[in-house]
Amino acid sequence: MSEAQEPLVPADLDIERELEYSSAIDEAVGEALAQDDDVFVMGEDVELLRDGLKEEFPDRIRNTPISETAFIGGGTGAAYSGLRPIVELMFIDFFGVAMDQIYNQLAKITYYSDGNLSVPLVIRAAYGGGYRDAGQHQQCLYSIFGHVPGLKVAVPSTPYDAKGMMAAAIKADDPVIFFEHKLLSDAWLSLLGGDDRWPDGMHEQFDVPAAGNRGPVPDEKYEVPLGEADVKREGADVTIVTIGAMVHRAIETAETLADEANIDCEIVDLRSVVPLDEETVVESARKTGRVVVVDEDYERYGLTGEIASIVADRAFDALTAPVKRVGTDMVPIPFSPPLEDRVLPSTQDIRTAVEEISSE
Amino acid sequence: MALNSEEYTDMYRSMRRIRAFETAAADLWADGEIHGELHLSTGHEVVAAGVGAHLSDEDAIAGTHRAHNAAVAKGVDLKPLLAEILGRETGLSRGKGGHMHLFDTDTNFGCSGIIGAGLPLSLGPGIAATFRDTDTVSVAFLGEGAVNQGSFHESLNLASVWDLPVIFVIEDDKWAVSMTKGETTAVDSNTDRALGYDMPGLAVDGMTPREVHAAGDYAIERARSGAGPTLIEASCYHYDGHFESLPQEAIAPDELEEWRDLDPLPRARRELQNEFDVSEADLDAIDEEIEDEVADAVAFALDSPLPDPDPDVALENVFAEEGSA
Repeated sequence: MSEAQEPLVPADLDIERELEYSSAIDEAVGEALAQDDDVFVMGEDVELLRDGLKEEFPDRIRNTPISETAFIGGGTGAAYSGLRPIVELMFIDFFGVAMDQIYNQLAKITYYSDGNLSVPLVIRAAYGGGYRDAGQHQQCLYSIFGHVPGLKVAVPSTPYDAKGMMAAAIKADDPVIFFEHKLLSDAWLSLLGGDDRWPDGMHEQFDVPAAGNRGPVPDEKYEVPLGEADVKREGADVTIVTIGAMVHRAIETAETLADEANIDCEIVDLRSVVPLDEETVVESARKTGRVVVVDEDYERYGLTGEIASIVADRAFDALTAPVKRVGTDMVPIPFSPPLEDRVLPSTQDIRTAVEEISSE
Repeated sequence: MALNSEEYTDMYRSMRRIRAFETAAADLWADGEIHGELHLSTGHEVVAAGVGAHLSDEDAIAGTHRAHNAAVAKGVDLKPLLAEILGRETGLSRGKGGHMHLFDTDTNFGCSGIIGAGLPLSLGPGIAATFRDTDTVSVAFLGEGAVNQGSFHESLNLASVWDLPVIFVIEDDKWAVSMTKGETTAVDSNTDRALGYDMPGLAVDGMTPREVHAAGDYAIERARSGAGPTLIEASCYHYDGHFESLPQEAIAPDELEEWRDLDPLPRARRELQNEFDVSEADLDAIDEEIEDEVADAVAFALDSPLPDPDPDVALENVFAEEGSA
């Protein structure tokens, strides 16, 4: 990574401490537990995964049986009864076994009660690939939750954003699905990919983006609002709209392109799928006239198409080329490393798309 | 646990109110004033009244697609309840929810149209009660068809493991649309399943007030005391069939006639007169009072306007925090 890169936090903040991505999320949870007795955490293995919090708040970190329907529904009911649960779904891929509770119950109760009931539930779920676990354990799928009205969807790309957005998610009176990328998380990656096995360490082995894994995080309480995108890199020539760990692949590509091809990329980190910050996307599209959407989720019927449609609708006159997209190929994510690398978006895939749009 | 005269009379009132409400709803559906599917609970009066007799406003009910009996027994105001079922602006949710998505925060009543979905939700108020150390209870109604959903097994297990104050009440009306309990369920009595979840299972005649009242009393007291959940299975029948466009006559006409002989409303009247010295005149007075109450609700609903789609009522309150989607 280029040494000239600024840290990916607001420029006016002078933050001395660095924190790892999952620890930043846990810190937000801990601050909320300390501040509000109604907050609690439940899910499979949470007493192990959040062992620090368990020690500090023994009654409010509770293991559940492997019963996602029961504990997501129970969390929903507890939330509309006045508590503020954080339910851990472990991996977003497991939503399937409990989807009715998520999309037909949780998402619809506020509307069908015409606002008389609010459901302040956070579902925390790990997602994303690149560490060779194959496709039932590495999907993104946030678009599915964006597609059904009634759910907010948070997808932070840095420790700073992660802590602030978890704080905002807990404070929100609405359901929030909070996506935690495994490749940015030391805890998940060492549990799943193994730490001690790799001579050069797991960060090197799995090409973990450094600025996504570790970065400046204030130790006081703060929020990063849901529904606000963040321009992580300003540029003049091409807009890359992206989210999650792909923000860092895009930044890496942008630096290479600046050095080697004289193309200056602007990178818009959406941060939330719902609410979607259309304004920031459209403003950038109007500025550069060329948009590439990069998403680690499956390419079709999801986020990339959504952004492309919004840009076409609201910035068509400012575009000098059609919107391009880079997503995961429409196949179940394969297991063997060269196959997985081929299927997930790579910096080369992003580069190819940017160069193509730049030559149109 | 014997039912006294006052308790039985109160139950009768609740049962009569449910029957009158459902009868009115059937007429309104036939007149085209109620849209979509309408799943009536005629025949299910005793189950709701017998459980509801022990509940306060603070206790929670998660109802089914056939939940009017539970709503009425819980004390939901008939006017906004019926108006909601008619999709009117004066309804519980200004017409946005309708018959299968009824929510009343005054009485902590809610229902869902998805089979078995209320069971996991019902754990929530139970969790809140244990956190806050209150004696509030949570009741989940379900049909006998729903016991074969995964949500049933997960919810009973978790309620048991965490000793939640949740009462699961199966309204066993023998039919899941066109499928019988016998052809779909591995056990003859679903209370056998309670053993698998380490909780009491009470099989009762859901057409007999004293049985349901006693079972409800036991289960709710047990929950309030912190001892955990109970499963009740109450045998009853849906006289009006699965929903209004599928009458029970089309499914099992002879069986229907047998169950009509067990209609709990006339039986309750006979028992109250014979065993409890309540006069026929008193019962007639109750019936008349309730007919008036329901007639007022019908008039209120019919007089209420449909919601104005402008400005944007349809788009409001998807989220608690913003006004529009």
